[in-house]
Amino acid sequence: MGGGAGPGGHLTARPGGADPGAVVLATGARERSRAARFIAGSRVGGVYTTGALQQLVHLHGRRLEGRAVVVGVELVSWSAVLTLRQAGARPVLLTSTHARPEVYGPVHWGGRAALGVTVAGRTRVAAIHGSGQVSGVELVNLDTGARTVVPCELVVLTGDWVPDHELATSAALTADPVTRGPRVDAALRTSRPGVFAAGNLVHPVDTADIAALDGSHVAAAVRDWVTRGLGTAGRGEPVLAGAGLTWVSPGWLDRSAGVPARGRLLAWPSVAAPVARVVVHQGGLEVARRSLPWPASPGRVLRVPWSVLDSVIVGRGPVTVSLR
Amino acid sequence: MTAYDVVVVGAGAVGAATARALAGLELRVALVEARSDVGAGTSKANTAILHTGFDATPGSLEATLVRRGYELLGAYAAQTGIPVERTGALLVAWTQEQVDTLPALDAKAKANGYARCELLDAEAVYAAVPDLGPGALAGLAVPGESILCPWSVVLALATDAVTRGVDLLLGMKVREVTPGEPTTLHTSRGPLQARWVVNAAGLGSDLVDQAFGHQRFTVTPRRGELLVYDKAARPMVPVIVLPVPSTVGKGVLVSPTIYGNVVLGPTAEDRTDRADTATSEAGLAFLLDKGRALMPALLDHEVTAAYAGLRAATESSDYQVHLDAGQRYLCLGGIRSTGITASMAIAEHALELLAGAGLAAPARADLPPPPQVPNLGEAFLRPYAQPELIAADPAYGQVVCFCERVTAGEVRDALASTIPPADLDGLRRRTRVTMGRCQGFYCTGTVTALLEQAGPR
Repeated sequence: MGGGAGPGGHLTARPGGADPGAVVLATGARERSRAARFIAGSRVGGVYTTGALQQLVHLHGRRLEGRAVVVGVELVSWSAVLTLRQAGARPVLLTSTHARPEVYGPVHWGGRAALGVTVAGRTRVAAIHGSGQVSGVELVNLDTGARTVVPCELVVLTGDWVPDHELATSAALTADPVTRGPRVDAALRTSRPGVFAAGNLVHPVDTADIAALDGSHVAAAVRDWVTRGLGTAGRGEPVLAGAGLTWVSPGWLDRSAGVPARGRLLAWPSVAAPVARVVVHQGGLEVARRSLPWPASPGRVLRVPWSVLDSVIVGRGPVTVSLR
Repeated sequence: MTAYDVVVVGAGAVGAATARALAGLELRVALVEARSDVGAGTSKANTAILHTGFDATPGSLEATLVRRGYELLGAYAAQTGIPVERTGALLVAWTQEQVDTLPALDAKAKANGYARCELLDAEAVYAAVPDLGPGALAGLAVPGESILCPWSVVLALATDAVTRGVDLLLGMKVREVTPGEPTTLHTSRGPLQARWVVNAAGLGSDLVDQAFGHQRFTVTPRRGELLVYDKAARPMVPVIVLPVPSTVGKGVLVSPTIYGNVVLGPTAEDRTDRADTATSEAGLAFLLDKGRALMPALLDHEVTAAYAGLRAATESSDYQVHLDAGQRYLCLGGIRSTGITASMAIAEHALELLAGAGLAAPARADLPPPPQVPNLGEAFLRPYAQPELIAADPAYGQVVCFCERVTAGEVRDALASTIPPADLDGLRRRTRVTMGRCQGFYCTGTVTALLEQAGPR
């Protein structure tokens, strides 16, 4: 990409080339692969991410057989369980490094009861065994260090999202220090004039309906840029994830950007809390604190009213949002 | 059953190069491979470096053949389209002891006929690789060291052999041998007769040698685990960053790959299982530990893949090349690490030895031109980026694997090629499909369907 997009810049898409007035990056997020999770062992068939599994089953009608271990206990993990069943396989175990269920209680307990799947918390997958095809997974209990090998024929790696930020990186957009996805303000403007980013690329990962909300939200900002040249982000304060959170989005507070879709700051908890207490610091000082009437759990986006940032004063330094 | 003039056992780099060279003469040649594909053993998983041989043991057969092979393969790569990047290498010294070793290494390189090394101070080392971890004291530049695509090397040599008329017999494991006139090879697919036999069985080369009644060497598979980092990290590693060799081996390197990634490794661990290419928790932890010291910023990047290869290590550091004229048998065993580079020189050497032992045949005048292999190199034009090609054949504009920009046209071509892939792994080595950062998150379904449509091979 040379320059920004639109007035004063252009985006190159080979072959053919294009010079649009604005660019919206909506490349989404993917699940981390086995290698990126440092799961050792044999290179065998039968190891999939949920994305690959759902393509095989839903798009290509693939049948699967045998016992399956699902790594992760997020919403998408239960989706993997359903897909496995539909394909003819038998999910036997879900594993999570966290102690508590990572999704809504009803989904979790309902899933366990209806689907007959055991959930192992505080468990890490150390290795996958097999010759040609999976024969089992080696699990480590994070508290005791005890190791067990669970026999199975399939392993599905779920969640553990990473934004597909290749285009954003190649355009040298300012990135979130943790997710490496592009940092946006409430109007979904990136650090480059005329370049916008929306959806799970900037909040890996929320459900499809929330990603779609971003789509309509960004359209207004694009219109403002194309018609009035209002498109520069990065003039406000960075909003960073503090203790208890992995990322927050939008990652910039620029009052000219208005409020985000549905007036929400999205955050990814790294710890579970029955009541989410959100604390906002600026320049080392606590500037706001709010208890939300809903829980926080890892593997599920925490939605925080944007108004929690009302007392932040742009110009007084970076903002940190934490979970207590 | 009529006997072949020569049967070459093992279709890795060395076997394919030797079969190809033999087929340049008026001979009936078979290339026999136990696995379902060429280059699927020790040739497939390595650090993918075209070695100058600067650090070989002067006077050894390996030193001679690596030096010659570097020239031969470099020229053959230019003819066939095997991607090679002349990145150069930089040995980095982290201790005073290693600094003191550098002049000796330079002298060794000169003894090996390589005079282009250059001693660098710490400032020059960091100028060359600014992202190196703290503590580098000095370096030795080896500008000739290069990176290449090892899969394309074997594919080009084996395809060349087949178009020259070699019978490629895959999935045929040699179990026993009855030496004679002719020699009978008892294989998993029945007997095979040959006037001459060449053993290029890599990890199984000692077993084939024993089947001829010899007790000359034992292969102890040496496992090397490697981590492949995301392409975003490639600008940090403009050259191959080598450790200074010590008595405990060559150590861990950081290298760019021809596919545009960065590789960290290998480990070196002696194993007993000749097929165990599993990675280990300890190995991955060791690599991360080394990587953290070598280039801490590298570890901030995502890991794209982890794999392990097995080197055909023996009691000896040198190649196990033995000619038995009475048995009309040539052993090309125990070739590790440098085998890809040396492959064409080993083949040349093999032909000289065989000719000396009485295998006489006139050179063929009607040889077909060498094949063109598809370019898998990131630094060179690939079909997705060629508008004229796409206009002529829209399948080259239809991307199947987005991470690696592999098109439906390339997959189609691979499935219809002289040596088509037997499975997904084979298709990966011919096209790069599913080998990118998403590791098949997006394309596994489509690629699997394309393979199945092509039917069994």
